[in-house]
Amino acid sequence: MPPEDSNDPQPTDEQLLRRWHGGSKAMGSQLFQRHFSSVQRFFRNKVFADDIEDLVQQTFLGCIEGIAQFRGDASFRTYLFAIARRRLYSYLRARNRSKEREDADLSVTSVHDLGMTPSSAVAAARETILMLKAMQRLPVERQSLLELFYWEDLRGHEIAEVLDIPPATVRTRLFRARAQLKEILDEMLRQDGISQTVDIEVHLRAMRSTP
Amino acid sequence: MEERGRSVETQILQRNIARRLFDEDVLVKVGRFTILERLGMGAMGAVYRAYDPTLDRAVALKVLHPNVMAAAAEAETTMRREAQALARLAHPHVVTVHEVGGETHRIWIAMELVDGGNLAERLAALDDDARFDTVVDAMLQAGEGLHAAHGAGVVHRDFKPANVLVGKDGRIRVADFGLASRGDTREASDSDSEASVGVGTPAYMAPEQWTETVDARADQYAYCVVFWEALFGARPDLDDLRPPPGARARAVALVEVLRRGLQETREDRYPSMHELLEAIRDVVFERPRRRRRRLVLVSAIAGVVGTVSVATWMSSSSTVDPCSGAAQRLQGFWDAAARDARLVDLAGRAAYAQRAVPRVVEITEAFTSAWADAYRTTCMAHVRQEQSDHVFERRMSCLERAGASYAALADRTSADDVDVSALVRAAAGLPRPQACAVLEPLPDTDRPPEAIQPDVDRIDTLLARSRTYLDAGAALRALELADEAIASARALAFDPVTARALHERGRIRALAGPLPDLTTEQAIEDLRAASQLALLDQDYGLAVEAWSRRAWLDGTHGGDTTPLLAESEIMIAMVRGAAPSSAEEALLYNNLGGLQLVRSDRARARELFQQSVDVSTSLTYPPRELDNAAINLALVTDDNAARDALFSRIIDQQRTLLGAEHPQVLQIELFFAVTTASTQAAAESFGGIVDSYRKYHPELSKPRFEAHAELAWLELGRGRGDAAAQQFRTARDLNDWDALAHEVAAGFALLAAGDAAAARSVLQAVASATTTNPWQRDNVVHAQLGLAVVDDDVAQLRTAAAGLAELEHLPTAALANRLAFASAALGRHAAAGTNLTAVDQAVERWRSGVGGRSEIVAALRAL
Repeated sequence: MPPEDSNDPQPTDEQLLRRWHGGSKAMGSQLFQRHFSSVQRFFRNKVFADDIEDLVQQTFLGCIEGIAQFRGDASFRTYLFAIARRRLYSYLRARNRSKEREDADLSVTSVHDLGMTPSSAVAAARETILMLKAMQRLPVERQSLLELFYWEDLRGHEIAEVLDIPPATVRTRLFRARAQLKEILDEMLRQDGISQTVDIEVHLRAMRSTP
Repeated sequence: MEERGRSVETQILQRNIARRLFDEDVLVKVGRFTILERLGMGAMGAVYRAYDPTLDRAVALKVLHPNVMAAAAEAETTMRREAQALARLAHPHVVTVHEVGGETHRIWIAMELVDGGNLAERLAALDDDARFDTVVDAMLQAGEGLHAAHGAGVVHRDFKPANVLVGKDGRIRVADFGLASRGDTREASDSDSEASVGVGTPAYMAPEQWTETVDARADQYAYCVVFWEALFGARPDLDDLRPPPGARARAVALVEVLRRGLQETREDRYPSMHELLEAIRDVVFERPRRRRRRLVLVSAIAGVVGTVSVATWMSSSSTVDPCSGAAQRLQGFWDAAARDARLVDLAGRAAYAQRAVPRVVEITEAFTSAWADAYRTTCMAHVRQEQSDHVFERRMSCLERAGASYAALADRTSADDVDVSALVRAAAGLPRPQACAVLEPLPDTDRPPEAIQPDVDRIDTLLARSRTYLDAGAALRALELADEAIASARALAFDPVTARALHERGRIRALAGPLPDLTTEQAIEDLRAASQLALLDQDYGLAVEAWSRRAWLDGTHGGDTTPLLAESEIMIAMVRGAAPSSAEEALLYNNLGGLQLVRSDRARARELFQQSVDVSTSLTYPPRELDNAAINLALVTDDNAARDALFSRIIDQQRTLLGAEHPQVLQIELFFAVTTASTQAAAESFGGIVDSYRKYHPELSKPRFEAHAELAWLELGRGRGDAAAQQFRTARDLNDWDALAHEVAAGFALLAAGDAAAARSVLQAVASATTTNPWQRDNVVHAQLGLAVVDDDVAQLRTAAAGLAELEHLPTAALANRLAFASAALGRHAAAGTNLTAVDQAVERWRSGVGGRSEIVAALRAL
């Protein structure tokens, strides 16, 4: 391991994580400020607004608790999103268990199916609201896949690691997710009596800057 | 999508987690405010408990969603304007808006933080026995809040139980005014709990709110839904507006009133919240119903005046309502039955009175209703112990003074020599009772000693009455009252009230003109003394006001304006520091504008009049006296289009205030007619003016003469001899006070009718008169002009035209008419050697609104 230099103006994520683990709250805070937005964005369109705070907090705490599993060769973001994804899944499954006996299969079940009404749809442009609502109707795994790819710029093998799926399948899964999103969106527009085609790629890319 | 920075919500989230994980405290800021916690979230924005470090206080900060604002730019402007209107409105039952700010699409509104709950929560905790009284008390308070906001021009648009806040003191405040967006008809949300995006809350929304622009009556509808729900525990079934079975009798008694408020068509509801609240009180406090007496009265006046049964409403003594005394008190100022009988009688006397009296009825009705409202608000606030005794007494004595003015109006109305047009003016100038209900406490240092407070009140009442008498055309009576006030104030030896009394006497002279019992020197001395005393008492508003009047009187009566203008710099600084944006500031600029006119500095005068108008328009209750500033501004505006637009606005406003046939309105129209460049507009306007004068004010010969004479010149300038002759004849017959003017009109009547010989002999006499009086110079020049035309004397014509060019007080339009007449006369002489095409072009350019005075004057000289 290289010697830690506290004067380094740009410590790496790994350095910050290890020093936070060593007891420096200031370093932990820096790491948190760096990645808060991404993690918050990951949960925002999937869970009740009131639960976001806990999930984000658990995710960051999870980085410390699971530090033994952190392999320096994986990027910190992959590690972080993998924790966030596991927190999300157990949260959604716990919610579902209070209603159903069987565990939900999140590769086929959507947050919409699970009765979630995330609040992020309030007060945004009409197209954005529609897109967000359509995404909530995708299976959770597919929704996450699209978000990680378009919003977080994760690469194929990183996404595979976060979602715990074979790397070779990412490309086809992306293709299917987009096709299904387009189907859902067209159906929603049809119900609104609007005949309009939406360029999904453009919108997905644009939405990452939504506050 | 545009990057907009992170929302307040996201920042709070981040702050909360950072606080728990790292013990770190990052401040979340909106403007200068520090966000503490979220209090609520709606479709348009979120409300936070926030801290204002500048004023060291907690506030409720509403932050509107930037995306919603971006989607409805028009709504944003309206929202800001309404929030600013609310910020000016101080009402016990409206959540106080402290401040509005923020950039485009990022508006925040800082409001009073109300600790307590809302009506929805409070009702849930009530048992049936307590319910009725609690509901009625709370809803009447909320209704007053809505009514006050409507008065300030703000419609709520989303009235519902959650927006009716209950303070820890039990006082009700209506919150979240005007925040539902308009013009944005995006889908409403599926549930009630989440406020719909855009239009309001569906369960409480008036039917028209889905499709139309709403007015105050949409709030009335929502108010009745809430009232119904609060009374009966469920919202009304609009297809079946019957009370639920088992409802208590007292609640059932209100159903009829609520039903009217719930009418689908807004025209079928009550005209305003005021009538609705009165109807509710009538039922709850078992007051006898008021009949629509005023309407009966107005129709009686408008139709046949004869035997009219005038029902009079007297308040019944009620043990339930501790604040029901307003009607009785008003009755003491002016007995309603006596008033109505007298007004009906007056209306039968003359054509003008028949037009004017209904206006007096309207104004006095509005006054008594506003007075009763203000009385009730003040009284209720006192009962609930929301204001100190000092504030209560200050507001009540203000209402008493307003009542005394109203009583003075009563007295003038019953006088034998009553002047109906002055009555309208005096009624329109009555003090606004609304302003009394929001008076703030006086600083301790400005309060009179308690022992002499009643004497001070009595003197102030004398002064209030004096003002109304002055407005009502009884200047001598006004002067008597002012004298009495001065004597009492001197005996009391309390300087602040002495200053007010002296100021009032000076003011009478300034506004009424010369009076037999008061010399101009005395008035100037009064005002000087008033200003000095006020300065010593640090009442800078009064000091400036008295100084302004003194400067005007002094400057327009031959005083040296130089020292006055030097002092004015201090006055301007003083008023801007101590009473910015006040009536005093507006008056100062107006009067200084007058001084500049005396010095012939028209440009500076125009600037000052404009400043006066700007300040005056920003006032909630501008004194009527300040209407003059706009007229002055119009009179010194040289740009034709701008002047016409100003006049048209003033005329509209004064017509609404005083009625189209009021002499003051006609006078302003006459100003317009003689100054406008458009012959078409002038001709139309003159036509209406001379008709109205003939029909309604045949006795006002001076303005009538002026109107007919100028109309005659207009006709002459247009080459219409017969029409001109007729107008000159009428003018001649009207003028019995100015022999030369009479002769000029007579001569031109003959000239225009083609009787040259007779015209010559009449005009000859005037033309040879020698006079230095500038007004008479006017007549001489006109006679010379007429004579030259009759004699076909080109040299004489040129002399007369050059003489006209020197008459600075004649409006450009008047000069243009005379120039056109002279040019036509000269045109008959082919060999005159004048370029008449250029002269006619100057006239044409003027009439089409592009030319200026200098062109007309040059053409007169070059003729």
